[in-house]
Amino acid sequence: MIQLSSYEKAILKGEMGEAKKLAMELIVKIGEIYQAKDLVQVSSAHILGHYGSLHDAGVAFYEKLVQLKASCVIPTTVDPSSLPVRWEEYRIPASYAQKQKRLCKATQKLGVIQNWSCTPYEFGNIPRFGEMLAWAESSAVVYANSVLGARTNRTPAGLDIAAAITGRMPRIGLYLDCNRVGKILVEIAIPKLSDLDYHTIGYFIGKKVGTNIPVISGIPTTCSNYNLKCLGAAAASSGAVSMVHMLGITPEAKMMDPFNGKEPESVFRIANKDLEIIQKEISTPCHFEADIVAIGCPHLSLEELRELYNKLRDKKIKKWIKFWIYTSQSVYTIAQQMGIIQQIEESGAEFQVGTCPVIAPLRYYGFKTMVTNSAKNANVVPSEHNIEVIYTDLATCIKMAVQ
Amino acid sequence: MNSERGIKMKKISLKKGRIILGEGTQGPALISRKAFMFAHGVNPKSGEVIDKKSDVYKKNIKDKVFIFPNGKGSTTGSMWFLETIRLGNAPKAIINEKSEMIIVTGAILGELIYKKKITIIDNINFNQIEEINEGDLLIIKNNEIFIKR
Repeated sequence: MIQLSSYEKAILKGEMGEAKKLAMELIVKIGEIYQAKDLVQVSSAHILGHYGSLHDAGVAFYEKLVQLKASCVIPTTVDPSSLPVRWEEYRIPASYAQKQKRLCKATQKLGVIQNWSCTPYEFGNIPRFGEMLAWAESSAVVYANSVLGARTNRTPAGLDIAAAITGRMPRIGLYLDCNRVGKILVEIAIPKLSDLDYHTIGYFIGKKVGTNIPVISGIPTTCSNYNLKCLGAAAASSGAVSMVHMLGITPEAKMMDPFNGKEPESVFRIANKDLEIIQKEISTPCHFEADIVAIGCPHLSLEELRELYNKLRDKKIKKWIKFWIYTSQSVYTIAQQMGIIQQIEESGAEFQVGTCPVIAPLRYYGFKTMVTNSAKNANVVPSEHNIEVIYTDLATCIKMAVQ
Repeated sequence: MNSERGIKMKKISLKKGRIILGEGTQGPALISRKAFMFAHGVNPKSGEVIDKKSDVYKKNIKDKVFIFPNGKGSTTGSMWFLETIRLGNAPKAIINEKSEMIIVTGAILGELIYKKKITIIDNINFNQIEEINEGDLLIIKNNEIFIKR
């Protein structure tokens, strides 16, 4: 039997309102099924809010919570929307847009921080070491566990908002020390890693380890945070990785033995030739010229945006190619103050703020071939949107798009 | 062979398997040997499997006893499943080696919000159910599965 505090019991009895009761029923049921001893107090949530995957059931659920007067009791951010901010300029049906707008409105009423980004750890929702979270975005889950040392499971949609309005989760999975131990040793034997290599390594590791926790050696401690973001996003996408220990980087791996005194169950090495093979595997066979370049999966950081600005300077994008840059409103606003947005737009590139290539309804645009420097994007787009993908580094993405 | 109400049925004990949701149900078996995803894997409007990589691609999960080893894919899977339940296109039961929280969340919400029950059996070993063929009528009752041919 799951142990509940008097506060949690009161919620379950409906003493704190119908919405919390509904949320707690879900949380307790999950806890019982996965044999949680008790609930854990979480202090941050990150929920999903895109119509493309929440469907009418998701709209109905969020609106029901609003109607029952629910409100987030912990800081809660939201993943990208299925609509670009200026959706009217694109070919998205009004009926689809309307549903996304209803979701936006419901999240506002629930008190969700309107960041609409998959990188909440950059703006709006920044966890500290050891903090218990209920996050749903898989790339952010890996980042929180592996780079920040906070604790979250891959929280399913629906359970995420239940956490947001109660501040509780079943104490299972990565909330527990015993489930944060590494199982597989991954040795990276490559002297100099390019930005693209981090994506490719993540993708490879995800394929190899599935849901297990790998311990990775050979990542330079001087790499960028965005490199770690991209590695985690790719691993979460190709496998179901929620956490990696990166030696010298992951806080817990710095403080203690990530294998907890045990031998790794298996060991594998990644060499340069592996990456060449995997890189080809990630691209789907393509014989056409690309009609869209998608940069910013996960959402671009300011650092990445500045680099893109330097690379796009004085260049012109071909008229028949869309060069779309995905980022958050927060990054966009600061980049505007830095004066780099206008410069980038002058090249013909366009910003898609608050949305993402993975969850936007790209089928409405009629694209055939996408070029991207994101392994997560390349992994998901062919099956979800029936668009072929060329996976290559940023410099080549730009080369293919400019006149 | 076991006999229940005069009908010949083969009984399969769940052994370590356990019913984690619902009480029991019956329906024709649909079997996938690969990890399954609801997110972009099933069309909620029809129950048809749309994941091209699935070995049950183009088959329909509606009202089936759907057997697959484990879930995979995006955390949005729970909402894809909930939408499938809402539209009446969900399986009657799911039998897994390892039931994933994403699928279980969708099923619990289906029960809480739409009062539609789905039986989920977790921790089955695929060897235990080798004798089940696609289309066999399966009856799940009192921690046992009966095959009726």
